[in-house]
Amino acid sequence: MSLAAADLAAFVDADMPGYVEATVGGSAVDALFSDGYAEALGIAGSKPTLLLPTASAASAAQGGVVTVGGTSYTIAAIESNASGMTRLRLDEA
Amino acid sequence: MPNHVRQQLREALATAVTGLTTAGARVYQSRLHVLQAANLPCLLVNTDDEQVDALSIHAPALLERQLTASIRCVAKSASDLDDTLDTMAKEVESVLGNTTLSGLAKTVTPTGIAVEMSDDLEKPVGVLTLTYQITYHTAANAPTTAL
Repeated sequence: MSLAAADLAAFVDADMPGYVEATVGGSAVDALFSDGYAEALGIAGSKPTLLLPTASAASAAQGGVVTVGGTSYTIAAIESNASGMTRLRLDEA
Repeated sequence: MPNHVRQQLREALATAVTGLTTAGARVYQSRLHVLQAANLPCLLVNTDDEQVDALSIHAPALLERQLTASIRCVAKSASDLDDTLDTMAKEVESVLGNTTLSGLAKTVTPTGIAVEMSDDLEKPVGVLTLTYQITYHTAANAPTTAL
């Protein structure tokens, strides 16, 4: 494991706020889950997202299933960048 | 003193579209607050700009008023959001298609539909706006009485 990968794995450690054990496309992953308040078109709600190392997101696909704490979501968007982390924008199934 | 005919028309519109299958009693007039989950699906009734023309030269003038009113169909749905919005539009158009709003209006004419959808929440949300032009007449000194 490279140093960068080790750092990223530590970033999603169980001590981090929002840490969850999730499944992405059927694969178990360590990730950080957020479901903060959001508004769109004058409507209140939330926007769940899952942040995980890009190396753990290989099975993520738009429309794929993510499970967090027994709740199922579908992947609305996959946001990857050069940082080595990927953010999945989720819709409630 | 009775209310301005604008207000009477807005209230008549809200009454006409209350109890429809999808939105039920969730009909709000001139609502500014953010909609919560319990408010959806719903209809938002607004009376907006109005053009006023004098039809007579004597005083008080007879005024012809062209009021723009909007009814926004608002829904949040994990699937088939477009179908839900179109169903709500069908329900609204069906009850406003042949009405004078209790005699207040000369005509109630649909002038357009606009649709916005967003995936920025936990489920897709959408707003379908039905725009109507409502023609009514008043005397210049009696905005509370439709002629």
